[in-house]
Amino acid sequence: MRSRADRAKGARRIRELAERVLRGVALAALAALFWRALMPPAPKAMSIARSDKAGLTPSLLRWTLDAPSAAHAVLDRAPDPQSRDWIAALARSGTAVSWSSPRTLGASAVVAEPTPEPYGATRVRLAAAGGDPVSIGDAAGLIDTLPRGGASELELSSVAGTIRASGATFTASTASRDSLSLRPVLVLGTAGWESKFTIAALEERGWRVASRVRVAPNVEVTQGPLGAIDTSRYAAVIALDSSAASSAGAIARYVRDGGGVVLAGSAARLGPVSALAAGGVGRRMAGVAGAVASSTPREGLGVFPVAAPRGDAVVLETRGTVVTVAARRVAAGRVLQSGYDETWRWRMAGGDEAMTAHREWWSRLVSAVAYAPLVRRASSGDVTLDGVGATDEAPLASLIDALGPASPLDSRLPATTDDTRMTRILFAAALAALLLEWASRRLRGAR
Amino acid sequence: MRPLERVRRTRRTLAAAIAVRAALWGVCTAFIVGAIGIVMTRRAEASTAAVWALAAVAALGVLVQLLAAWRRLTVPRVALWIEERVPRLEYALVTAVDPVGSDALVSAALNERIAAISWQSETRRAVLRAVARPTVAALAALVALLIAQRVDVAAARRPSNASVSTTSTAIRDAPAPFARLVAVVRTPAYAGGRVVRVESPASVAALVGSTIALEAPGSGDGIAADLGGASVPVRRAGDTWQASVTMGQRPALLRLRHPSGERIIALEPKPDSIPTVRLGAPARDTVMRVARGAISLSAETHDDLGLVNGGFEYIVSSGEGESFKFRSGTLGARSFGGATSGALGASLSLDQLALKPGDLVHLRAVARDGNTVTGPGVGASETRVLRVARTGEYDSVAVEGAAPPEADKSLISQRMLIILTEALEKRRPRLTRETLVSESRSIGRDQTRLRRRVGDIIFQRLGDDPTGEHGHGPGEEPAADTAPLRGDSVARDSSRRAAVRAGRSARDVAAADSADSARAALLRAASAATGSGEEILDFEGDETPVVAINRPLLEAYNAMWEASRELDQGETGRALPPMRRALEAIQRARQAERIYLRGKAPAVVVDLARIRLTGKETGSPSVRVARSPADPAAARRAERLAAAIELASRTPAAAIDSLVLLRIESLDAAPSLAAAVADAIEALRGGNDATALLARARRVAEGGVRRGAVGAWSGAW
Amino acid sequence: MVSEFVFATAQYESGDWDSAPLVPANLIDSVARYTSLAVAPTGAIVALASDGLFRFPLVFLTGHLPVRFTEAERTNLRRYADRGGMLFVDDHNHDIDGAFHKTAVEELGRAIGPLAQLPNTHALYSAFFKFPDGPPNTSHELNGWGDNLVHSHLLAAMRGDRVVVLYSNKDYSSEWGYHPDNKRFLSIDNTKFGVNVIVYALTR
Repeated sequence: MRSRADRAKGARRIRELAERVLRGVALAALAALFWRALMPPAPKAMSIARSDKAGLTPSLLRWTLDAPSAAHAVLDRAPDPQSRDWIAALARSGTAVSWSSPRTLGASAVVAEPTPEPYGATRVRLAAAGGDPVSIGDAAGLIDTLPRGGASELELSSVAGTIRASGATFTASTASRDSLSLRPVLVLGTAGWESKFTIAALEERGWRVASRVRVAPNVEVTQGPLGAIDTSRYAAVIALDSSAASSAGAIARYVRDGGGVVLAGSAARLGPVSALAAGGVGRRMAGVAGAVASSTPREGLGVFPVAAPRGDAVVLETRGTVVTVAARRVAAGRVLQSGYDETWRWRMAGGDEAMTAHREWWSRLVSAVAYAPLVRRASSGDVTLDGVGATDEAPLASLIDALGPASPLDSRLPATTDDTRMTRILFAAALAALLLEWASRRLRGAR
Repeated sequence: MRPLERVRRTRRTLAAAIAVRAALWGVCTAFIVGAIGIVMTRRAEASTAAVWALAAVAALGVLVQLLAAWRRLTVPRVALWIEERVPRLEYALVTAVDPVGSDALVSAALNERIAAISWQSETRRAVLRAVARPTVAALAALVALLIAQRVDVAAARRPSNASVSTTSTAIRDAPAPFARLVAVVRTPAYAGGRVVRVESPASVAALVGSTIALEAPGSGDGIAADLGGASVPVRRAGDTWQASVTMGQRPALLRLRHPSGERIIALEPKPDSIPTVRLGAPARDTVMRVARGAISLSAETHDDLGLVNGGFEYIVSSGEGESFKFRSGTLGARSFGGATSGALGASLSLDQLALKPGDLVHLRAVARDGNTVTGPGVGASETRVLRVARTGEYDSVAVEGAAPPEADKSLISQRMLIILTEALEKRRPRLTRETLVSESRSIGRDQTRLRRRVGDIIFQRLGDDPTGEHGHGPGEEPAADTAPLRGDSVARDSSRRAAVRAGRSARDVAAADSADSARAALLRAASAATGSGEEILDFEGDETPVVAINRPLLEAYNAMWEASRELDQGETGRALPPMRRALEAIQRARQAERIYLRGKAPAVVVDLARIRLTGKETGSPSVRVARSPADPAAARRAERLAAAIELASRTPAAAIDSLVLLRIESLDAAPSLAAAVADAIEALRGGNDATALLARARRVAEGGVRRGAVGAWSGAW
Repeated sequence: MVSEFVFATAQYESGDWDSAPLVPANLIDSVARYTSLAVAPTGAIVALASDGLFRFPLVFLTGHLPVRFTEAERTNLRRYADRGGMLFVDDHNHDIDGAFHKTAVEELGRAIGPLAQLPNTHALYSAFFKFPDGPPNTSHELNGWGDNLVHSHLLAAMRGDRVVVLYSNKDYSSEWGYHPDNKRFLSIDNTKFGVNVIVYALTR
């Protein structure tokens, strides 16, 4: 039987051996690191990069330096324009680049344009497949969030720089590069509460209004620049009642030349204009009692339904099965027929927000038909802080356009992954081995 | 237990103590390294993972170094260690555990001696001494680590002055003259003259009229102050400088400028609200049959700062129709001496008011506060109406409206006739006789018609069927009359003539005669009583009830009769005096007796088709002037907010200044936006994430984002 | 179809709101004579405290007795003025020292806003007929009734550039308080200013 001393001696020899092994491991790791530093690995057949938290940039940088013959990007979202252009440049420089995605990259698109309304609002249209939430923001921060993507339209009264729409698999950006100048609106009607409050609503909303309001035969209350009804003078014409009959022919010509007309109440019956209207004028229906003060105030208004809308009419609003507002394009112009009469009751007797809502509703009616040609803004000297020029309105489409459709990774080709991990592993192994060896020596009393 | 076993047990205890000591020193080392590393890396914004890795390595090194002492824990060394601390053993223990050993007798003697000696207390003391110091050191290192974390965060968050700061990298040093700025706010004297000090103010909210004195150490040289564009003098007071302003009624910005920088202070006025008054008694409006006794009055009043006085106010209205008299007064006036709430009480003596039937008393409670800046705020309660019912009136106010009194219409008609007659008299020199007589008789016919109507009124008041209100045009017919027929040549002749002139048939004239006869008799008698007409009677002092009631109307009747006669002869000049007498008499008749009815007034239906566009004149309206936009600044506010938000990501301090300006300018026009911006400013100043608050402010500024589905009708040109 | 103008008289709790029952018919008559506006042949009465007030964007208020609005009337009037309504008030006493004037001015100031003189060049005086000298005088003023003054201006409370309260001390209630058929006896129609008020309310 071995003595304790013998056993202790044996243990010490094993321990010394282990220490030597650890030292050898550390030295080997250091040597491997030194060798890797001096001799970079040769490019392999396929380099794969994955877009992760750090983005594609490190991989793209490596590809640029390494110049692999083939590269494949695994994307979890549509890349930003800079990365996309970088990949496309690599493809054009000789590297066969392909891409794929572990999940479906939904199509998306966003576009912005000025709305023909006072104060220069911007209308943003967004289409995002996939059903994921989409957040809309600009250089000033988050504006709104759409819970389920889809197709949406937003109106923003102020925009700073580029507008961005971000979803789970994309970030699209756009900017409004056009401007438009709005001409006044001409209102024709008989003196009464409807003409008074319609004009008031438009003026309070910021529109410039010209008007002819009949008080007595050959007696009118006029306002603003009055002249021939022409697209060079007016952005839109609103006919509130039969008092516009004397101008019906001029209105029809105006529409055909590109003007916009709103026919309110029973004004769609006016001779030459009736052929342009979205439909006939039905028998007046009374409003629902008390609804004016509710959340659906127009339910409480009397309405002349749009009877038998024409085939090319677009229905904009209904009450049950009855069409209350419809619009139609006629030659170069547009005609909107709103059957509501006495909308002033909404403003007077509606809820707390009735005044604002009434103004905005009338403004939208006019805006829907207003003649306001777009003018491209000069790009120089008009760049916003984050660069209006850098937009990416349809990321997925642009990606496919640049790199072609997605293609699965070719498993026959050998692949390499990012080798910075090996460097980290070697370093950690060297450090751990040295520390363990030193600890063991100290614990047994050796120096 | 044998000595060897006891020594081995002691050896285990010492080994554990060495391990604990080594561990404590290792922990202490880790904490110290961690504290130093946090302070150094926080400023460089480096990751703390490397710091803790380094701390772990250092701790491990210390641990290993100290654990090396284990190897010296051999049995002989432990025995020697025990011998050193327990001299009583006299090396018996060392000998007993010597592996060379000794004979049995010696061993037994040694064991016996060693067994009698214990060294546990010495061992315990030694262990405690060994772990005490490293324990204290570890605790101290822990404290140092905690301080390092807290001190460093505090250094990042502390604003150097109130106009600055979102993150540690964005701290802006306050200009030296404003470094220790203090605002001393003194409320107006009527509000107590309280003084409040605000250190390093960014905004000052105070009562309108408060004085705000800004002061800071320094000479004030180079400092310029302005309030809303108006310069504010800066003066030196000892070793400080001062600038004083008074809080106005509107929000304003006070700017302090110095070559080294600028400071903006928002002034937010708090208006003094008017007292609230609630009338307790009487609890509701009252109608009284007889106004006697007293009514107790009570009210409660409250004010935010202090009440000065209050009381009850009443207005007594007497009269009806077009003639009213008013008396007013106060009751129960009292002083409150600055109390914030109080009660009012009084008694309204109806006897003293000497109310008559038909009188109304409007009563309310009023209280005033002591606002000497913008004037005393006057609060009033609801008004109670006390009414004294008229004789014969029902208590209920639900009285059916009657036609306007006939006398009113007579007045108007008589006035018109006078105007026409005067006009004709003026044209008389230019007219032929025939024309004059023709027109004069036309007026005479109307006068006669009017006279008959006045007669009908008198007749109606005597209890017979009223004639009712008939049209004023020609061809009106006399009302049916069921009274017994009596002959009355004069009346009959006149009515017959009237009927003939009106073109009625003889049969109709006969009917008119019979219907008129009863009234005519009475009227003739009455007309005689007024001192004019064909029969003169003197009834003064002994007048019949008919005469007494209807004297003014009877006078009017007679005057009209006289006027008709003159007009029939074309004597317009001589017709005017009696016409005017008739007018005066009708006015007196209206004032003599009032019929005052409340309830729905009768509606006169206008025959639109008949009169449409028959007006002789044409209007010429002026051009309409456009209304101003409802809130033209709203869009600009939204743009400014967006620009400020964009600025916040680059220069938070400048963004805060922009937001403060925007907030002040929005206080009046858009208070919800001002509140939202205030929340964001607060977050930015505290170094917190203000993204959500800024987004909310933006939604408020834009009135919400209008969102909808993309429809088939869209797009600009 | 144009909704017709309905002349509304305000009914309030504290006083004799119905003291001028013939004014509505007279003004309706005048509007029909001079204009082609659709107008209802009879007036309407609307309580100031009721929601029905908002069906009549122009309301006429008169009386002799003190005017003390209830809280409901005050709240309604404030909202009415903010929405675009216009109140035409006439002191039937024609007495600026009288209870109606003093209380009405106070109550209107509390409910809607302070009353100030309306310049005689205001658009109201040229809204249909021309009144270059401002508000026409009434016979009651000229006869020295009431306060024995001829008031050269009307008072008004404004919302921006819009008249929301038009206040008269001139006793138009008496001046116009006659049956419209008697208009034929007048050489000058004294209701033309009423047409201006109505046309102003309907067009400005």
